[in-house]
Amino acid sequence: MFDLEKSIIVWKRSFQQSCSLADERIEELESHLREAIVGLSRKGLNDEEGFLIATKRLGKASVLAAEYEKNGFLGANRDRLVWMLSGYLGISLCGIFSTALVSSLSAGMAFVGAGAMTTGIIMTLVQVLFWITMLVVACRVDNAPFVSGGFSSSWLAVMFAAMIALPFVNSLARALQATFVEPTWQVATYYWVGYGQIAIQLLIYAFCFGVLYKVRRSSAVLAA
Amino acid sequence: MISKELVAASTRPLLLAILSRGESYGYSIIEQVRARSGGELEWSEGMLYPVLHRLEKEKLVLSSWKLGENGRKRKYYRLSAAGARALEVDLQQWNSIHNTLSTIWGAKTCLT
Repeated sequence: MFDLEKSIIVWKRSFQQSCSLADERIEELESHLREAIVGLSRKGLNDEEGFLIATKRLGKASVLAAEYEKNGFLGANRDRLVWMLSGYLGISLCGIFSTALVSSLSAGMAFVGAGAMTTGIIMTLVQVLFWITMLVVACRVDNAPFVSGGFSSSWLAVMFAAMIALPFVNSLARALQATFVEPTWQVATYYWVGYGQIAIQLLIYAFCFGVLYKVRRSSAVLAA
Repeated sequence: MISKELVAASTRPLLLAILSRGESYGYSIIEQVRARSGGELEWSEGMLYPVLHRLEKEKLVLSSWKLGENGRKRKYYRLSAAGARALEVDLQQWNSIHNTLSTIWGAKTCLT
């Protein structure tokens, strides 16, 4: 048997636990929920059906809390802050990941006995491919994990773990290389990879400046 | 369906206009918007309550808990003096956009 009062208490608890909404806000939402259930019962729905629909319409606590937070001291800058920080972390993470990837693949190349120059050039190509892939992914994925106003805690945990773990992977791979080849091989490989990295960096800078230049011009037009 | 941007832009003037006709509470406001727009505008709770909260913070609306006719507590909102002035400004701006569109489209209706 469906118990409306009990269900409302459970629903309220989910709001109190999962977000930072003030009690008065939750009370107002509860008042709304009850009105909505009464409204739906006039349309012939029973308490259980009304409760399901009304809670669904109210939406998730986290989404509502994010909307309320826009009124907070960060205000409209909240979204900007999220974008800026996730941009910084995202680029850093891609950088760390690509370094670890290159080291690991180089260890493989060292194992099969490839030359330093071949390895260096292939690793540069790997990095170019990696950044292009990241760019394509960024353009394709339109429901990014922070689309509803912030990362979920599980996404934050994954990112944090990756930030900690990837440098270890990198060191391990470097150590592994040293067991297969002479230190001069590593130096020579990184000589090539280094040039590749400079070229990639310059391309990324050129892209950023190009975009900023375009935006600057169009905003000047808008202001005029 | 009215675009997201237009819904967002019209939220404040609609809210202030509804409250200028007398105090009201969240559920009733959503119902009024639905009825007056002929179902074209469907406000969500997730949008309305945070906006009400913001308008309250900006002192454009005032709120108080009262017992509704159903015997339950409801949070009623009413327009403040600053809210009435803000509505006046909104009305002027919307009228000028409406009038501009009307002259171009040839419609002869007026918002007021």
